[in-house]
Amino acid sequence: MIIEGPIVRLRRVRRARPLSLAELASSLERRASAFSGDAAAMLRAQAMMARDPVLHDRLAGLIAAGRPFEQALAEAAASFGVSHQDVGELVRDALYEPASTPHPGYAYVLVADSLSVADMMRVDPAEVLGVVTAEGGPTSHAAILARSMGIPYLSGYAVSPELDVIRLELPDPSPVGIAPQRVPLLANISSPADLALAQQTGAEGVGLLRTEFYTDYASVAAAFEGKPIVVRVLDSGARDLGGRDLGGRDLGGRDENPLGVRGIRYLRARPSLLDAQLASLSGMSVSVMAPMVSTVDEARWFRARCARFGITDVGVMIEVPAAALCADEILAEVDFASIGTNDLTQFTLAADRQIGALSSYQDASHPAVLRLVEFVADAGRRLGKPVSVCGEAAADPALASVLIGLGVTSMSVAPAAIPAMRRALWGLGALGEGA
Amino acid sequence: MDVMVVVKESLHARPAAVFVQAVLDSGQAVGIARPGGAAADARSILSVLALDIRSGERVVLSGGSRDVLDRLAGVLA
Repeated sequence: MIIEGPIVRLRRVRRARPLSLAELASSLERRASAFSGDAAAMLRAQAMMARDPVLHDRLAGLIAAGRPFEQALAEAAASFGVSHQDVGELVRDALYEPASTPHPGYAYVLVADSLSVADMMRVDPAEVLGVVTAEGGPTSHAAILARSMGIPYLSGYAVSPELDVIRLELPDPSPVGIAPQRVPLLANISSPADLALAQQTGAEGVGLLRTEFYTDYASVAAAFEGKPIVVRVLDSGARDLGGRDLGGRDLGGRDENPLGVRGIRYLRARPSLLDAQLASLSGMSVSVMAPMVSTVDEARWFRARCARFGITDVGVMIEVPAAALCADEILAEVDFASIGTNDLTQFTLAADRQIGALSSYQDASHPAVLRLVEFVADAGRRLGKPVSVCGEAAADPALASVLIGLGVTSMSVAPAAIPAMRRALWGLGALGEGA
Repeated sequence: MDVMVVVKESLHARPAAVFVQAVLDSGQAVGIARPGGAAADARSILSVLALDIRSGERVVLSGGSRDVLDRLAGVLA
């Protein structure tokens, strides 16, 4: 992988007034909420250090003894004898800030002596081709954050001040890929935090918008303008209907019964709910799909309902084995299918995924599940219609490679899983340019 | 009240943060030490990191109620 571009150097200036530890802590906590996984855990750990009661006591003691704040902070931090990057970063972020947030308006390679989490948070992943630092290693906080943002990060190299442009050849498989992908990597979105993270990690669209949890369609459309956005209409169960349909008939089954009135079955019992949702999606450039479809008739009904609202790109979730086995007939009625491997696995193995004792059955790599996936992917290929996967299986890099081999045309995963997936796909050659 | 536990994962920043958060959530003043060593304030992540506890080492938790110490031992084990 080659990173090439103009250099922008990060410079720091002393703050007019040092930040207090409490200010540093709240700013780290705010940032943590926009991330998940390693990056969030690391930001929380760092915030915890800024709130450390023993550090505060020692700082107060040194200030009371007449030390200036800067010296007191450095001494108090050093008193733990922890040669820990977090402590150093805290002290530096308290005293210094970047001279300016680099937004030159073109793609660049960021060069710095060292980068803190705060520095890394300021850059726009869309503009940064890569990062080179003299200090820090692959496990530094800034490096972890860069990975989660999809930015290649190289540490341990001092860049000559005379250089204006840099060309780096990184070993393959590259730590992080930034090239367009042959198998698009999309994000599953259930919250505003997911949306923010999906943008940071460079998702190529939204493969599954879970509207039970998040319905700010305008924000999603603005964030991923010009990219695929797949909205799954309300995926809910009979419990939410008070157990009865519009005619007052008992819909039956216990709460959350996986074999009960759920998904499109529920929407057919309450079509006004679906209509209201379709009306609010009308006129937006999004695709819409129905959950838990099991018959051709349901697919046809859903397509017709969407057509009333001028929605033309219509798909179905394939989660029920019956739908997988009738993929040709169902795909003939709609424009695309998305395989939900979690439910497909629970239904294929007849094992309720809520029951802990049956967790070993929740294995999407079971040959029966993979055969169903292959069956659906084959039908998609025959009919020229895309077949994506949006279950947990898509986020398992090893299984994802199998799914791609079976003919799946795109993957949608939790935003936090995107960097790891991108690395795995890069290794497979499933990404674009390097492939 | 002391509880001894064999630490499963070295107490680097992130595992230490999980442990310290559990201590803070308990609302009790808990100490952590190597057997026979001086106890550090387990509410202080920097003090915990300074101990540099590695995977497989034994540590002694002290100062809290039996319930809390057992729960914290569970976090480390």
